[in-house]
Amino acid sequence: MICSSKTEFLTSLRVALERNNVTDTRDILTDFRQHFEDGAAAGETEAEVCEKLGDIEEIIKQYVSETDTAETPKSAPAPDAGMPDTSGFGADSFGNPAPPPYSQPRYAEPARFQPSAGKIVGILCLDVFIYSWALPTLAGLIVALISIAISFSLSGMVVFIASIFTFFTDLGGIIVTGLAPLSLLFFGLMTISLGGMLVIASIGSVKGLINIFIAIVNSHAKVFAGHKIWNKIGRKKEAYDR
Amino acid sequence: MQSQLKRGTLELCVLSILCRGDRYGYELVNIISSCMHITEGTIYPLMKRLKDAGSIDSYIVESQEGPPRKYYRITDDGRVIQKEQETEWRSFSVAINKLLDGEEKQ
Repeated sequence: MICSSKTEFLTSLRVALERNNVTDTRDILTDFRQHFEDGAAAGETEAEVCEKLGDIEEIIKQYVSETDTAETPKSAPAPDAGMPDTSGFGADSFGNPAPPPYSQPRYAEPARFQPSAGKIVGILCLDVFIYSWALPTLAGLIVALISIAISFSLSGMVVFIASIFTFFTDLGGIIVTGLAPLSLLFFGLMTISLGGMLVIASIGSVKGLINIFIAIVNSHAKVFAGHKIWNKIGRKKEAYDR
Repeated sequence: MQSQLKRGTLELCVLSILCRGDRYGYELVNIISSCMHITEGTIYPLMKRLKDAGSIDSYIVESQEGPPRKYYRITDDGRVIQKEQETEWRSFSVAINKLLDGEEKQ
């Protein structure tokens, strides 16, 4: 399996390492995490780094066969002692001991994910609730919030600018009228700042809505495929850090 | 070519690069993959194997930006092994080239 993101790669790698009882999992994961960070610094996308790193199962096989040869260091029989040498280059050319003759492959195939019927029914019921009520309500509230934010900001600006103009035209006239544009000016400023706060609040709630959507997608992915597929926005930190 | 030969030569490549100076993982992988096609992820298992065998060593360098970085360095044992393998490889490739070019003595 070729992954498409750093988190997906590291999670799959950890799961596969643990399934095959490879030691030093933590060190290995740190090496690969560093590799992703260096790749990002060099301008590569996570997907590109994943593709070049290759199949996780291929990497795991290397760690497993490495443990195998380490367990039978130099005791492997010489190729001329009746053992067929499959490589054809002699057991010890380039310093590799021949593979141990009768060892069972310790590499374990990944367990196939089985979606459970109960969970599927549960999540579909939840979907009905989410799509018929929760999401439309939430989306409506956010749209309302955004329109209030925009109208507050715009009307504040209009009042503010208008107050400046009246202020200037009145300069040549009677001084008393100067107070009215001043109050208008502060009123405009107040409305603009209110509008600003509402804009910030709407940005926050849109982000929240997107994250809720991602969580919904991820929970479906978990039920149907066994793992998450998207990362929430604004979460730079590793999902796990063991 | 996913055989002993490729694994063995990759080991020689890593040792030879490290003979010329210390490198960190990403750097090492890029040097090798600029010369030949490899599944980059398989370099790290190789590094672990070389480290367990005592041919290489690693140390951490703290960096101002970003997390600390792991550098690999060749050991004295590693240098000996690199020399051995290099000699072996050179005579081996000369022999193979002769056979491929049909220059063997009749």
